[in-house]
Amino acid sequence: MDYEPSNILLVEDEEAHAELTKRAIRKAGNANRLDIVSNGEQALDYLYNRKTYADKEKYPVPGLILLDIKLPGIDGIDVLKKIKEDPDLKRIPVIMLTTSEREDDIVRSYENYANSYLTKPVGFKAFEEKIAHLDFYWMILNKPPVVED
Amino acid sequence: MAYFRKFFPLIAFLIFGSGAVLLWQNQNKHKQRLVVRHMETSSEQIRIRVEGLMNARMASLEILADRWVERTPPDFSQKRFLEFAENFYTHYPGFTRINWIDPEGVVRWVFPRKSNEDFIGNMVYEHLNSRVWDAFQEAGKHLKYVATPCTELIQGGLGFHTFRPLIYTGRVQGYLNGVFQVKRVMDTCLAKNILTEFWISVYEADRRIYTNEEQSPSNAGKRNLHVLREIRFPGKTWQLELSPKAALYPSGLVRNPWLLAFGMFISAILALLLHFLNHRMQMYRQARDHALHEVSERKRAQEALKKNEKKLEALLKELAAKNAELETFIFSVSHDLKTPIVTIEGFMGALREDFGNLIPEDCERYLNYIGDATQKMEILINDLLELSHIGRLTVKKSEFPLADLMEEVIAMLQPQIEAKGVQITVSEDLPLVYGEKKRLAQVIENLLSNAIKYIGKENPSPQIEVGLQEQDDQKVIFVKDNGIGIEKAYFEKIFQVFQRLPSAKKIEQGTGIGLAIVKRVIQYHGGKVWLKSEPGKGATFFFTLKNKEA
Repeated sequence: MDYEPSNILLVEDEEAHAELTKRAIRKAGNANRLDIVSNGEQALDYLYNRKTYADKEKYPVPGLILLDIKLPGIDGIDVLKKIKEDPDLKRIPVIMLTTSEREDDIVRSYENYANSYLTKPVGFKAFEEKIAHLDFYWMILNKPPVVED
Repeated sequence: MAYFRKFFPLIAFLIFGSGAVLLWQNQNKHKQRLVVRHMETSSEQIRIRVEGLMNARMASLEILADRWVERTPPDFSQKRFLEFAENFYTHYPGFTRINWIDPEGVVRWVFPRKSNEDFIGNMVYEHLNSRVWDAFQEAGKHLKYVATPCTELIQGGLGFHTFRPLIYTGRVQGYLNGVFQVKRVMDTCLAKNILTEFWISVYEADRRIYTNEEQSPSNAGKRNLHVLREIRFPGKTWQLELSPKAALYPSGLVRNPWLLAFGMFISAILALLLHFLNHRMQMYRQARDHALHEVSERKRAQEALKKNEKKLEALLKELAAKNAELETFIFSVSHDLKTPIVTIEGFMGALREDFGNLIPEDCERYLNYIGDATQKMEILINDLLELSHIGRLTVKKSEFPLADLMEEVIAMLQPQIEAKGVQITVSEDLPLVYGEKKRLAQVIENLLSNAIKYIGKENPSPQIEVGLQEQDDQKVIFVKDNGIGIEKAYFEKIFQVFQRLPSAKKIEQGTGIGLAIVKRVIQYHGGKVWLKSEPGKGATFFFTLKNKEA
């Protein structure tokens, strides 16, 4: 199918942050759709169309994943590993979006083939700007591979 | 053992001393033996001489008798007697007199005549004592030679008579009478050296008849060293006693006391030497024991020290681990704190954006308070993160000119500098430094921004000077301001986390972490940081950095 990078999956346990991100992405206006899950397990269910996300039509493969690291249960790095180990999912750009500036978080993310690492800035303006940049870059500038079904 | 050692010299002295005494006595005995032998030979000599002399005299009288009757008819004339007598008297010394006595006992002829004429015509008993008479009688009765015991002679001195009856044609014709003075006999027999060397006494039946002793005779009994000898000749048995004179053998203890004294002296010296040697040995032993003790003590102390060191090392490790743990904790907490701030700031922004015109004025004011507090919190968290970062981050150290870094930091702080109108002078001799550029930039930034912050609101010409000075062969970099200054009481405190001066709190906002970061970074680089200041007269912060080689 023609790969449309218009769907974004946001994995974020902090409801407020999810709301802020959602607001910023909506304002940036390049994404068709933003789905939000609040933990690693749900993220994997979503990606493999399991349980509540069984409907493939309703929950297609996202064009971009925004992944928080600190998650209850299966954490962000584990989700990243699963995605990058899966031949069907590994091409999806995964952006780590987190408040952590810890070196080992950054290193572990890149070691597991994260496509980018972004920290959530403090301050409303800075946050919105950063999300707008992200949205612009990955939705507009970035050229994703064409995947045959 | 040690107790015995103490008495060792004394024991040695006793042994040596008794040895000396023994030697001394032995030497004495040896000498005594020599003297005794000498006495024995001497007394033998005397015996032989006296016996020989007396035998010869007796024999001479015998010969006289024989010669007198050898002619026929015999010539008993006075002339002939005197011829014979003179002959014997002169050739055989020892005679005191030679008399002719007729059978009735009347002294007829006397030789030598001189001074003896009074005797002529006397009866033997008249001038001689009864014992002489008895002897005379016995000679006549038994017709044999008889000698009297010793008696006082008329001529003086002790002596004795011999009577030899002269028998012719079965009849006693008369008697040849020899008179011997003991002293004269002895003087004839005794050699001069014997007289000088010995005390000599002669006894006849317990009566002393001769002595060459000038002292009282009682001395003789006391002598422990003496030789007795019997002298025998016809009709006589004498006891000869010899004892050494002082010249030959000192009386009493003939021993040489000096010899003993010398022996004792040597013993004492030996004992003393031994004592000193012993003392030395003991001192040496003590010193050795002391040294050994000290060595073992030191060893023990060293071991204890090592143990302590190990303990300390373990403690340090534990402390470092705890510290690292704490830093990690602070780091995590700071991150976790960031999450709600992102939310607060985010929704405040959203509130203003979405409902800006609906927010009443008071609410706007409250929102601003919340915003300020959040910002403060953010700065605090960032500083805390910085602080916990130092020492964890291992950015590569490099060498670079401090002047460059200074320029960058000043450029960054330009807005604040301009806002306060501060004039900054940077010395041109700033050195090359070695370290983590980013961290050192933080140091400079914090020091400069502090200087700017506390430069004082009413300062007419706010100035900051950055320069270099040498102190104890070390390069010391200083940041000097003419600001409000710091009281000495806070010199240490201000380098601690969250410590802010009371005055500082009023003037400017801050987290109280800036100087703590400075201190940690400088320490991390092996340097030192300190300050000099007086309230109202500005403050100077100094810091050093380790050289690259070190």
